[in-house]
Amino acid sequence: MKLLTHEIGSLAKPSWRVKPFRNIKLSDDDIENAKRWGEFLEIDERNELLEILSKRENFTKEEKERILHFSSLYAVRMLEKAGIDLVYDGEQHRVEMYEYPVRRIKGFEFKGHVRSFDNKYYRKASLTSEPELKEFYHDKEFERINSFAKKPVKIPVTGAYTIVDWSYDEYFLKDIKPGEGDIREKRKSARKEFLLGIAKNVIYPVLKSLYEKGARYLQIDEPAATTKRDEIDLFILTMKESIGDLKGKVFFGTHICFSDYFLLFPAIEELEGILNEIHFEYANRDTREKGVNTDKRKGYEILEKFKNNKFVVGLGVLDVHTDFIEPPELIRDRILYALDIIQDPERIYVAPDCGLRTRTWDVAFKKLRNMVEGKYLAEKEAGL
Amino acid sequence: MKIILHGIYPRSEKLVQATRDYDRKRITLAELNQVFKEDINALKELQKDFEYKTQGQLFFQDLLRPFSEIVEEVEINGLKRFYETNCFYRTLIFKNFKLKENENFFNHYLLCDGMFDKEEKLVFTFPFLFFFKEYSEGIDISQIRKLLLYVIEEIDKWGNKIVVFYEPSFGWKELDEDERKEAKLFAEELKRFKNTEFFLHTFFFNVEKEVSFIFSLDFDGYGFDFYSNSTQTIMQNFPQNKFLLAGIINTDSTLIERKETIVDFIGKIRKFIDTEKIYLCPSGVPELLPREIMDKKIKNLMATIGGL
Repeated sequence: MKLLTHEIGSLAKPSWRVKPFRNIKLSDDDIENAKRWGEFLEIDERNELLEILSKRENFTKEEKERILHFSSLYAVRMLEKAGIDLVYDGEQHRVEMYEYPVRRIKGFEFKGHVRSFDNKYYRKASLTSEPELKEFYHDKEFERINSFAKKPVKIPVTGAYTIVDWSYDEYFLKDIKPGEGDIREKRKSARKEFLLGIAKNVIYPVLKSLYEKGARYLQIDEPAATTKRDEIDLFILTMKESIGDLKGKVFFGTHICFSDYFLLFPAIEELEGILNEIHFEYANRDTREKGVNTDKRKGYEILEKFKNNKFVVGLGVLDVHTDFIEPPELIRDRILYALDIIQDPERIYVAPDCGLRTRTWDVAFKKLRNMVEGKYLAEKEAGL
Repeated sequence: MKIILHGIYPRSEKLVQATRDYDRKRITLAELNQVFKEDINALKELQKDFEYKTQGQLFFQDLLRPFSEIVEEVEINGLKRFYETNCFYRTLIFKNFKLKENENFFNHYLLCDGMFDKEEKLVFTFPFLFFFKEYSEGIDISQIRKLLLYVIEEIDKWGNKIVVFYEPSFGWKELDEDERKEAKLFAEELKRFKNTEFFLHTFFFNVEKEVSFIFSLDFDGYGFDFYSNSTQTIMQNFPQNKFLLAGIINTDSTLIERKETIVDFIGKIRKFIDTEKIYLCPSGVPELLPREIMDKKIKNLMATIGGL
């Protein structure tokens, strides 16, 4: 019995991928980066990329498409080289996880920027009419990655709850009046309609199409899942509607990060048999000291909640917000601690806490390589 | 009928872009500050007919951060979700609670480097005790009281100010008896400041169970989010001699409020309180909306009440 590893979504986009799309001239460093990683990852077709990049600016639409193809290929090869079992291209095709899908859903209008934190802002949209899918927005990405991946591919899809929670609602909530006696009930009812609208009209068709194209591992990203304490029931309902009759046909995971996970229990257990894996961030809350006791593994407290259900535990073992390279022995101990609680190695999938897009490729690769090494050490120690 | 703006006002798209450009070293600090000035001036213009104006608190990274500059050792830590929104605050870790003089807090954050005079009729918004506590560590509520009093001491000398305390924790968490005592004590302490009016504004949550406690705190006025609370619940026992901050501008929706909805709402609250005691205002945090939308909502409200 072996432990399985996967990534969680994003990787940084190489500068030679970003600049051509922003019409910024490439520098020597950008080209050197493409060359260095191409050699390291043993990408046979890298000379074609270098030939395109040598133009440095004024790339045609076709050339940009090839650059995108190569950034996707490089990312997949990077994960494969690190030894990851389920791979993806780190969102090379996407702007980010909110704006990318929302631009492909009819009914949304972007209204402007709002603060996320510090001086960081995100563009926020409002639903102004019935939500409707414009295009199956992850199909092309899956087909491309699947065409060259040597390992099974896992595609992340932003979940309905997160899309709704990160948006305004001018459509379902249009008749609300301040001070009305039943204002809370009206808001909750409108919220439910919005969530079901996105789940049924958008997410389910997107997941179904990916399934029909051959995807067998799908990750529903729901970072907003616990934002509103009174809406855990709506989150659960939304997840059920999003997956629908696809349950059992695809391995479904959900990724929820930087949240109060205790709020999800026990309600989330309703999703047993629908969702296969629940992935949380743990390493960010943990100590960096080796050891398999509760004192050292402070970040893994929530694992107790998985003792009495059958979910696969998506086990975050890499803190994505730091360049600290977790030693394999630390990763080993985090896995052994989880194994001690969960008991069943088939129920543990080892992963980073979240996407690694804020790290350089050098740092991301070292972290991921150590993650795989740590997994081997844990397997050895546990006699797997 | 009066309008008042509280909290951090949204930055314009131009300022958002300029801030990003500055962070990426594409523009200078002087160029960035010029855009800040334009934003603040536009907000001044928007409020030209208001009795009390906000400067927008546009230099605030969040409502707590500037306080880190008037205490000796404060570490600015990781992100924590701002109640149930998708905005995040950095927790302040107080290592050594010793107040220190720092004119920057007053001159830069409150008076915007000379863009406002001390004597002007201005509104400032600060976090109330439980909100502050929620996003800080190493500091207890009595120390938070001291910190806020230190700031208010200075502001009160300027005269002509309204201080709005934000407190979303009402209706969000259970307060224990000690916390309630601290709130009462703080309200009592504020009474010694004669040149400032103090309003306590709650939002995001239903405060039905806390209304009587809120009214027991002796503030000059109370603010409520009428998109989370019913008029009847809030107004039936509203103290007669107090001001009402009536949260009518929905900060959770980009939809511009219908004129008839505003008129109808005003008609209802007038049954409980004299018109001169009402300030119409945003229901919650203005910066949760994009600037253009917020501006439109204010103009719409002004046009609507102008016709009353």
